[in-house]
Amino acid sequence: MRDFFKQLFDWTEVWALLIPLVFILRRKVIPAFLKPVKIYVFAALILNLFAILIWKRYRLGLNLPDWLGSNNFIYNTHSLVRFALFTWFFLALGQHFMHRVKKILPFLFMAFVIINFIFYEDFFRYAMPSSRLLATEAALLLFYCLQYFIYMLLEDRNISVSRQPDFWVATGLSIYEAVSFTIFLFFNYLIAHNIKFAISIWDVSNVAFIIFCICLSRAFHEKSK
Amino acid sequence: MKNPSDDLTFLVIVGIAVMFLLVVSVLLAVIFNQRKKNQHRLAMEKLREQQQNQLIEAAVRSEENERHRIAETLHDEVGAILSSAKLHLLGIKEDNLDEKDKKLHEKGRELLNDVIHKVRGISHNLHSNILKEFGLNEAIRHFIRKITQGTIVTATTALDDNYETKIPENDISIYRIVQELVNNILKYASATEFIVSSTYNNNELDLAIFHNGHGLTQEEFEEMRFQKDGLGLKNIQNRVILLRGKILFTRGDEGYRINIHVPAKSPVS
Repeated sequence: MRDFFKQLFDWTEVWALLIPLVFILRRKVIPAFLKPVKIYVFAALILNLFAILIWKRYRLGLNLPDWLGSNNFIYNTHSLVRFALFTWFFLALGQHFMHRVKKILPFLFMAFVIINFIFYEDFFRYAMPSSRLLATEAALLLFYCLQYFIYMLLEDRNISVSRQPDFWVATGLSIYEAVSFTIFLFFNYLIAHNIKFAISIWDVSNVAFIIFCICLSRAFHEKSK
Repeated sequence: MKNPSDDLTFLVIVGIAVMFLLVVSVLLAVIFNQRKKNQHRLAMEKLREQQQNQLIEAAVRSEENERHRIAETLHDEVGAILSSAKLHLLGIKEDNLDEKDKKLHEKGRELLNDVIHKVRGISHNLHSNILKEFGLNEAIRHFIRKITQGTIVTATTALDDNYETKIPENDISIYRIVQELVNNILKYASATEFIVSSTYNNNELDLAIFHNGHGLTQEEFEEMRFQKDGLGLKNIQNRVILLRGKILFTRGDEGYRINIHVPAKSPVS
């Protein structure tokens, strides 16, 4: 029984995404600003499934080629995909607050990624994902979320926030990135010095990921009403 | 000896907690701020609605007072002068008149009678004494009878006699709405038949006007009541707002229907 729950928790990054997927599939028309989120759910599902299959290959008896020996490059890819799609989402909202900064940030991030992986880190590093990439991505997405909330505070819009799909997306993303930022920032160091804690703390990130997915579901549910 | 990774473990846990609390605080700030804004908006809307109702009430009241004043002037002053003129005309002895003058005298008397009749009609139309003395149902019946007299239009009234007047000002508004709607039907709808009916349950009055002409749908009503020559539709809408009632225009297979709902606590205070 304990093993069952452990396995269930290990697969969190896959099954949690099925929750928003159900609401997406129930929707016939998705508004333009939610399209990046819809793509993200599909992309994340594929990437996470791939990552977990690589991780569980021995348990599942899978024969994978040598270059698929580690799933860390998938986490790096996931980070890039997430940043690109949620940047698209925040820009698609059409909020004029800090618009120029929001437009410049992706280019700065791109420059950082290129420089980091050419000169400092290996994108396909076997032992661990890039803490630097994941933490930077989390910080930037947190910035997007916070500027969204500041805009909501400043803007004199008479709306019920709980009925806004974009509010639910930003809420879920901010909770996930806030919890994960510290984990991502110290993850490489923790793997090197306290691997047991590193593995257990990843579960905290998984819990935040479940909350994130529930918030995404609420966003698609709000729209489907 | 203290392991440096213990410090980091502590740092990571504190970091997660701080970041999480930061985001939760921001979220709560947004939610409470938005709630406050919504409460303010609702209060403003209520205030605006109150002001709008007060304005409508004042406009309707002043219109009613003006109608009353004109009706009184027509009846008491113009009507009295015309009646006096008629007496003077009747005082002329016809025996002393030749044939031509007799005809002119006869014509003058006819015209004078006609004017007296018309002035009385206008006066009653502007301020219905029947409404005051016999109530809404009788006033509507009388109005319908009078307006269709001598026309090819067949009118039927089926009004609920259980209706009781609670607030006389409301009756005036309901009467004016019916008056305006029936006038419009006769003027613009080319109807040959119409029925005015009402039901009265739990102090709520439901009036229905059905006609077989070319009437309005709800969309057309909404559109036309903002036009300058809005057939008195704005006036109807104002009175409906004042009664806190509802008006609904529908099109059926056999004709058009207008439903007016006046709730129990419709207030002209």
